[in-house]
Parts: sequence; C-alpha cells; structure tokens
Amino acid sequence: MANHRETLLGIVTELTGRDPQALEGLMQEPLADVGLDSIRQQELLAQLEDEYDVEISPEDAVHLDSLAAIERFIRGAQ
Amino acid sequence: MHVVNAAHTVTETERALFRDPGETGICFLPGRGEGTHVGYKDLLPLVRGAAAGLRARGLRPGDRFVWVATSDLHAVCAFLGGLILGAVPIPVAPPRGISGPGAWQAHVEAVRLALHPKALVGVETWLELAEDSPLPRVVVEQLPSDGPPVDGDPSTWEHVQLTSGSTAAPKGVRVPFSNVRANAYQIGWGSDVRKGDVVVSWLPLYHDMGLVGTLLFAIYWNLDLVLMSPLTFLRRPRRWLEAISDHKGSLSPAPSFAYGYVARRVPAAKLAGLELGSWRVAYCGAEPVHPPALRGFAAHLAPAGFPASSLLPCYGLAEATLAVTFTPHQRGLAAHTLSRAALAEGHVRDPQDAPDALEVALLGPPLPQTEVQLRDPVDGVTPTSPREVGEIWLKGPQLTPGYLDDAAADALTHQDGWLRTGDLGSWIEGELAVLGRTKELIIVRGRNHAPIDLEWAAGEVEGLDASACCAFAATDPDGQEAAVVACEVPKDHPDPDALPERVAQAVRRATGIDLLAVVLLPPRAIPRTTSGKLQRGKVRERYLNGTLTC
Repeated sequence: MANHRETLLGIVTELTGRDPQALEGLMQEPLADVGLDSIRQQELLAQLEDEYDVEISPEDAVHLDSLAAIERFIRGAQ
Repeated sequence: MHVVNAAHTVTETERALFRDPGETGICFLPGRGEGTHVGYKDLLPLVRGAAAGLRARGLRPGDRFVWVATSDLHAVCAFLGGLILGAVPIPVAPPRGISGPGAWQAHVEAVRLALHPKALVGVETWLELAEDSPLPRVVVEQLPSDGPPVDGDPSTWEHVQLTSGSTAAPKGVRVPFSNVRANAYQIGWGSDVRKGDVVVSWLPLYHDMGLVGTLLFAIYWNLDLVLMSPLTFLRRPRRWLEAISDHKGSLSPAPSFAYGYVARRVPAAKLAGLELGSWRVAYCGAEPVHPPALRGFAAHLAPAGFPASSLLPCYGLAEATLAVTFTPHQRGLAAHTLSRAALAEGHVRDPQDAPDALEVALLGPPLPQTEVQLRDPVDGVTPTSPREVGEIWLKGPQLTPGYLDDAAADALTHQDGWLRTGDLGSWIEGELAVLGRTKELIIVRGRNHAPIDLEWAAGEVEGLDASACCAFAATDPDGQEAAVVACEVPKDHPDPDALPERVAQAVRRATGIDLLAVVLLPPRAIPRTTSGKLQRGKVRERYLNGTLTC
C-alpha cells in the first residue's frame, strides 16, 4: 500500500514538479489543485496503466478526482 | 419488407448527408487494439434507426437535444439521426476526471436552462451520471439498428456549436447544414481533396474542428475516416501517428498545442515503425499558431517520413462554421518577423533589432467565396490601411446566422451581412496574420498590446514556454492600466528566483512597458479551454481576487 502511494506520488512529482511531501498533504484535494489538468491527468493514467498493467476506462477515470481516489483504485485493481 | 441494400433505396433527403453510401466509411478506433470499419451503406440503416428512436422518444423537427459527444459508433449515429430528423443536436463534452461528475452535471444543467433542449442523448455510462437532470434521457446503445427511410427538408437541418461563453453561461452558435456543406466544400478545395483520401482524427466531436472538420467533412466528400477518442490521444499520443501510418492517413488536423505535445511525449526512439509519408495535409488551427512548435514537430517526425510541406496553418472560428483562410496546399509553414514596438501601435513594420522581433505564422488567403476585411477596431467601419492592424470582418457561405436565443450577441457581431470576429490581424505578403483579440487588449499609456506579444517575449526567457505564459491587464496602485504576466515554470528550472526579473526584462525589451507583476506558477496551472486555448480572463480574475498563487 505504501508502495502504491510512493509510485503514484513519484509520477505526480515528475508531472507537476511538486515534491512528494507536499503532495501527501494534497491527497484529498481536486486534481486541478495538485497541478494536474486534464492533459497531465491522462499522462498520469497512461503511466499507471503501464506500471500496473491495468486498463483505466473513461468511466473509471471520471471518478478519479483526487490522489486518494487514484490510490484506492490502484489498490483495488491489484 | 426488410431493406436488403440500403444504397439502392436512399432517399433524396438522405442523399443530402450520404451522397453515395458504399463501402467507404468510418473506422472506430478504440484505445487499444484494432478498429471497427463501418461503411456508409451500413451506417445509413443505423442512422435511420437512431432517427426513428429519437422520434419515438418525442423529438420533433426543430426540437433541440443535448448530445454527449463521444467518438463511438452509437453516439455518432445518434448525432446524424437527430440531424436528418430535423432535430437540433447541441454537442457537449463528456465528463472529464479533472473536474469530476459534479461539474459536468452542472454544465448540462446550465445548457438546459440557457438553451432549452428537450432530451439528453448519449452513451449509458455518462447518462447514468446525469440521473438528477430533469431532461428525458435517451441511451444511444438502445436506439434501434434500423428504421424507415427518412424524408424531410435538409434546408432546415442544423446543429449548435457551443462557443466562447463561460461554463455557467453557455453560448451556442447556430450552424445550419447548408453552412456545413459550404465550408466542407471550401475545406476540400483548400486541401486539394481527392478520391482515396483518408481522414484521421482524435479531435473531440464537441469542437468544430472535430465535428465539421473531420466527421461531417469526411461524410460530405465520401472519404474514409479513422476516428479515435481525444482521451486516447492525450493518454497515448503515438496512437495518432500509428493510425496515420496504419491507414495511410492523408488529411489530419490538430490544434497547435498537439504538435508540441507529440514532439514532447513521443521520443525519437518510439518513432521506429511509423511511416508518415501519406500525411498530405496536417491542418493547424483553433488557436494561435506558434511557428517554433510546428517547426519542431516537422523536424522531430522527419525520420518517420513526415513531409514538412504538409503543415497547413489556417484561421477560422465557430461563427464561420469552421474555416476562413487556408495557407496554400503543400506550401508548408511560412512565418514573418515583425516589430513588436510597431505592432503595439497597430503597425506592421520590420523589427529594429533582435529583441524587437516577433515571429508570426501566415495563415493564407481567404477560402473561395469568402471575403475578409480589416477594419478599425474602434469604429468598426474604416478600412485598415496596408501594414496596419485591424479587426477581422468576414462574409461568405460558411457565415452562420447567429447565436441561439441571443439577439444581443447577434447585434454585436453580425452587421450588414458581415461578421465582426473580435480578432485582430493584418495582411502580410497577401496572407492573413492573426495578431490578437480586441477583447484581451492590454492598454498601457495609450498603447495597445496584444497579450500574446508579452507572452511570446516571456517565452524567450530560458526555460520558459510562450504557450505556458499568460498576460492580462490589471490596475496599478495609481489606478492606471498595467500588465501582469503569469508563467508556468518547469519543475527542473535551475534558477526560478531569477525569473521574475528576467521576464520583466524580456517584456520590457519587447514592448517597452514595465510589468506590474510576474506570477510564477507550477506546470499546467494556467486554466485552458477544452481545445487548449489560454483562458486569460479566468487567470485575470484569479489574480484580481488573490487566488492566483503557487
């Protein structure tokens, strides 16, 4: 579980330039406030699909509106 | 009797849409795996079924309906079925994760209140999210797969293009099908369209370049269309290139940002196996064309056979259906360097020195039957002299009749058969160059500055990107109008602390004005529209109310 969060925050750090520690405090915030617009969000999902070998459909993606929701989704998909 | 071969029984009405339905058709490409090809002759029964289904749900000619614009077979048939029924589709974007289902529900509700549709039509997945909407819902997967031949009056067909209005106050342009046909013809002329051309598109169908420029354009010219979802492109941009390579795509458009995005997301090592020599027209429009981004794209993809001569920057807007000017077919990008200082005073002159130089893309002459005039931006009447900047007015068979239920907006923009675009431009070497918008002018000490001038100056600072800078007007402590530039700073920038001064210097060098403030933001913090345009008004609003921060 900790690993999932580490992986997720690692990718988000790469996409937004925010350090993982700062992101820990933004887990429940809307993704736009984390610095992920719709384009960066798709980049994040593509990287997660590759990392975990899962397919994230648009109907799943629409509910992934915070880092916490994404972490829960990855955990559920494993 | 069951219809055995639809092609033999196509009504005159239906031929207004499908001229000669046969094997040529649409390949619906999913996020992964092979696509499904549906010839127009097989699409026709599905479109009839959709028309019959929508009619059975109470939709009549002239009734508006919200169409959730996804790029799958059922949704496309529902749009076309509604159109030939004479009902009026209002395409809206499907929900996107970034804003969550709540924001989407609010948008659908705002469209309902403003434009009075009679139904909400879309794929089941998204309609389930709209359960609270009072609109009757029509699930496209449940529409019949065949129906009686359609007879009606194509001269009454129209759809609505949502445009510049805000999310809370949607504004729709009425787009009669006669405008679509006229513009599709003009675009085909400008593209030197030929039998066997293949259109490849990931553009959203809620945007005019996707809906008119690819779907309705391909149907009009009876061309194959390879259609994929914008999400597929954003997630895996190589899919766009693969689709062109696999299907020998020849006509494929995108906004300027997408060309830069591909160069960034698809590294040179991932180009192996792609053959892009068939790509004859790479249209580039929908937002200001940034010459370095297009040049970078062409250089990056040259090893895969992309011909730089295929780049075709163009100008258009929803109020003119889609396209207004086109650069000559197979000419490629042409840019011109002009003086920023002179431009600020409304003149087109050669630059005095390097910092004064601003490079703009030339967007070609007007399409056939299209007249473009440049007029004084203030009085809206006086013609602009050569080498001066004026407001772009236009007239032509693609000019739409106006906005839906918005006479006030009509009065501002439609005058004596001409459209006042709100865009600024000049003629350079016989071609239109778009040099900003009247509404976003920053006026400092009586001099007009288009925000893009300041943004491109800021973009020349090392490590910054012009398309990730946003300039807008604010008021200084003395009550005078002044300019602010907000810049997205890459995470790996070596010296962000020095940036405010460098940006101020660059802008000062380019425009001669001192900035009131430079705001540094994390990557992607500047709000953009669904088509990637900077939302300068929103940035300004956030700045003014103190919420524009890192």
